[in-house]
Amino acid sequence: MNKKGQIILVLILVMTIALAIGLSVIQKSLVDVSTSTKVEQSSRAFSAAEAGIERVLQQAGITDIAFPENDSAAQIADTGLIPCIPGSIGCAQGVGTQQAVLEYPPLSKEEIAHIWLADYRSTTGSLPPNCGPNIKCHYIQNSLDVFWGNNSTDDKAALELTLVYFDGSKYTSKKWYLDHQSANRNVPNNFETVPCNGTTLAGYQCTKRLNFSAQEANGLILLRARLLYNSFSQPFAVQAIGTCGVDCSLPPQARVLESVGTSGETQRKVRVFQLYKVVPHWFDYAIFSAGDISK
Amino acid sequence: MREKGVSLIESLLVVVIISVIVLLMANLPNAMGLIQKSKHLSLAREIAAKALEDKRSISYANLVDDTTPVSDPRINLLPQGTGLSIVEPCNLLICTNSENIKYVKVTITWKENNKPQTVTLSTFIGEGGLNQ
Repeated sequence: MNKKGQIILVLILVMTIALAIGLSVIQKSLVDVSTSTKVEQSSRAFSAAEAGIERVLQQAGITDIAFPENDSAAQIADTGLIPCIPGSIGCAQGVGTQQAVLEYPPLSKEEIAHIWLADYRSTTGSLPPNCGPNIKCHYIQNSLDVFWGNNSTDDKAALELTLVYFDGSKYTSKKWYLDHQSANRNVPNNFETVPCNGTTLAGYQCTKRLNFSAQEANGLILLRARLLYNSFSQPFAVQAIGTCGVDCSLPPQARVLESVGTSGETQRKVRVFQLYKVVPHWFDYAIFSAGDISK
Repeated sequence: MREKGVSLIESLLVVVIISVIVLLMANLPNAMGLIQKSKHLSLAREIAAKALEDKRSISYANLVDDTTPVSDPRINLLPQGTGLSIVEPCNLLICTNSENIKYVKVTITWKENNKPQTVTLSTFIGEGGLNQ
């Protein structure tokens, strides 16, 4: 039997297998090293981005920081206000349009949403809030739309609204109690019933246009909303009326900060919505108690 | 008449095969070392990131300036692994208005074939900032 040449075939087979194993091990080592290096850079970039946010939260206007000890840095930007004023720089809405709806995260039962009607950033201390001589910096329209309830559920929430305004000499509050038209509560609550057959805002059950008197509209400070009777968290939203720019727009409720951390070729971005300070949830009951407060 | 023996081609093939195998075998320990190194690097990064998050979970008022060893038990998996967590006031050259910000640095060191390796993560933690 002629066996010439078989040894070559066996050697080629062995070589192929050894080559495959060797190359795969080398490739794995290179990929592992590359990946772990990238992940480490990613962590450094993320820590730098977080540091950038921390820095700008403490001092507005900071645009960059650097950590030379581990070759990372961050660029920070104040990227806008929520909601933005139509026509203002950086706002997607143009001049002459109605301000977009301001939607809040779903509220659980008796949880409170706080809406600033006066600009939180006004610093003059004047009443009603002004941002300069003869420049009002609060919402000055005589109506405001509110929306609540999830249209895709049977959970029928009622809504308690508290308006705080300055009547020219003192702070005053006004309440609305609104209920779902078909709620049929076991114990009548004497709330104002509202048709809840869907709204112009997709996904919402109920809507109501709040009307303010001239006195109220001249000193609007804040509005607080609380959902009642709901078993599940339900959405809540407000929308300013009109298309006249600042006067027809709710003032900013939050600002958006963005920090981009960089290390090597890796970038990580951290975005923070900084909600302006709100009064605590017990505000209504402590300040507007019917009788004296007993300590 | 054909003569029995080994041809030149066969000899060359054997030399090439042996060379390739020797080359691969010589590189395998190096490759295995790289795999081990990357494992250690990933582990060190995990430990450093967790140490940093642990600091961030402390309220600002309780965040004292000090240098403490990282107590993560996984650090024992690193050859001669040690870690230090440093909290100090923000440098006045950076925080020019003396803002309430702490500079936090976590350094994990270990040895790879007797060569020192380091992973360092740095950040700021401010009063009323992230997670505060």
